[in-house]
Amino acid sequence: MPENKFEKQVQRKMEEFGLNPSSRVWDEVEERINKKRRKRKIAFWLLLFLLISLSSITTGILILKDKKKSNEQSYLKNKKQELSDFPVMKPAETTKPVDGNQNTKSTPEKIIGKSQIKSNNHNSIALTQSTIVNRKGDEKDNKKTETAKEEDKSVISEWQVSDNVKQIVDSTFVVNNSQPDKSDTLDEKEKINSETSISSEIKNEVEQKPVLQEKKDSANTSNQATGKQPVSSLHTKKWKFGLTIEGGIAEVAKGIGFVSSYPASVYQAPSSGGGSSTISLSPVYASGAFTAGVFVQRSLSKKLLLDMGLSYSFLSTKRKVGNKIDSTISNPNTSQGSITNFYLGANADNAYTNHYHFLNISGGIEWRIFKKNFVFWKNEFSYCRLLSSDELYFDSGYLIYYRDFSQLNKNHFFLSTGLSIPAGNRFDLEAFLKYDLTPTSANKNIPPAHFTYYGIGIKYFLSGKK
Amino acid sequence: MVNINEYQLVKDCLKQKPKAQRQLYELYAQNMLGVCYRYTKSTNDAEDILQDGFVKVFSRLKQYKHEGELGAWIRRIMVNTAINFLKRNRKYQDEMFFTEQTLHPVTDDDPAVILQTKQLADLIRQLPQGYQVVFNLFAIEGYSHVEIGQVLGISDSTSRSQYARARALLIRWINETSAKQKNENYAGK
Repeated sequence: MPENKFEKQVQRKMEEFGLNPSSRVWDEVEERINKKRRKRKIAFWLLLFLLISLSSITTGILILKDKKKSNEQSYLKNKKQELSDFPVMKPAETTKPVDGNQNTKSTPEKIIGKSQIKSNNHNSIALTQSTIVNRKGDEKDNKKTETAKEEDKSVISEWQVSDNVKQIVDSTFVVNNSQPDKSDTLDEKEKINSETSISSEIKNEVEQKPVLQEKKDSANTSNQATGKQPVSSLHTKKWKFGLTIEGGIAEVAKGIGFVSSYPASVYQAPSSGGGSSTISLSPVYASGAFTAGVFVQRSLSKKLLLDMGLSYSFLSTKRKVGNKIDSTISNPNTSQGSITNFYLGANADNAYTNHYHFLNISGGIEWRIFKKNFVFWKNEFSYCRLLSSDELYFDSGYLIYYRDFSQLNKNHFFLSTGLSIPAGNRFDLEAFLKYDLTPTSANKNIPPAHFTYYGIGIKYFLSGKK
Repeated sequence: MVNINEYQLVKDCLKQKPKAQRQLYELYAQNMLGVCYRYTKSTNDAEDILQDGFVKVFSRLKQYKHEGELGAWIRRIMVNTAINFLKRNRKYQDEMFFTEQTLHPVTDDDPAVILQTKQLADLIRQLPQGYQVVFNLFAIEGYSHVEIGQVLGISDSTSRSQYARARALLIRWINETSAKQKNENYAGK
């Protein structure tokens, strides 16, 4: 400290000393602080936009789905109502009296109300296909002498066969009193399919349909045989939720790409004995990382899944530092105004692990790549808030490493890509690569470096996939 | 000093009010340029340091706890920014190695500093870069030699010897300048 007169005089004089800066100084200061503010604003609005978009898409999907379901239900209800209001069928009303062969030929299908009811008494499969076909084929021509009463009886009997069938009034019933051959059945089925105008969902409403059941059974049997999960089980449009755990390697890379270390820089350091020495900034080495959290998943279609999650991530990296100094030096560049317990930049032989703790909100889409195999290509975007870190910051002025949380970017945006493979009813196995779009350091003087995090993970569905 | 409520000024700056930021700058810019001027060899460099320093001030103002004087806090930022600038800048690095080739006689004389502040600042700037920094830190900022050693990465004994030489050189120059001024005054009369 200055003790004598000279130092005091100089100190006093220099405290009075001042100079007028040129106007460019303030202009540039103003521009730089506004730029920082603009960046913060952009980040805020971008995040807000993403959150709103994500929630809008999700809400939209849910609303559309609900609307579709309610439409189908009201449609079904209306049709039920129509059926209940429908007059009791009498043979005379259901069919026109058969005047003769000509009439029978020209009007093989009898129209009842809006629907054409054609009965087929040869099997109930046709019934459950929502259309009962009654064809008066060649045999019909041979049985021209059959009475209308008999015909009507068959219509009524078929009408009474299944109440469920009544629900499907758009369907066409074709009465065939004879046993059709196989080719006829195929034709009928084709006709049924073409004539059927109701959606598959309505079909599902109609229970105990042998044909569908038969189809389902056969599908299940074939899936069991191949060891694959049935598509319907993955295509359940319900929210599924569960736990997720990931583990892997985190590293800090300059720009985009895999590099195992952060580029080292060399700094000139003044030495006590005159001359100069150099200090190399330690590279940053890869280290362990893990993530644990919860997720919700929903199927958007047979090929697409929507994923959202909330998780905690721990990332770590390593670097070599010199000896630890348990001392305090003043440094207004730091948040505390001083540095306590720092590490020397020279003689970097000691390994130090930087720890990072993140809270993540993520949203993404899983796309089924192959038609036959259940491999999903997963893409995710996540916002990560850095909760805390003990990362060492290198001060090129003091040539020391010290902890300064204020030097780090708190808001990070990660892009993630990977593969997801279902394993059983409750598990998904994943492999992923995540890249941090945001530089780790908020300090402009430090070359931007980004986190890369890759590894494997497992998802456990609490609700099951079915 | 301008009669301004410092607390309110800081608060307004934290709210990113441009008017308050300008006011804070105007309040301290002159004095801080004087600080930066003493550490550099050119006014442009001093202004660059001032600019960097004020950007740091505004971005770290929330860390200021009103425990000490705001001026002293800003001054510390300026000094550290200046030292970082000198270490980063190639132009100054060659002279920052504290070569002991040039030896200057050490004196304990305490001459009366009759020079104008600008003249004295210019003389300090004429010191070799290493001497200049150590002199500024010790004599004007009040750092101890241990602290200077930590800041500059040198031993405290090196700091002491550098300071002694800087002091001696400066005193010689002050005396020479003062004598010259006196002669000029006599000649003028």
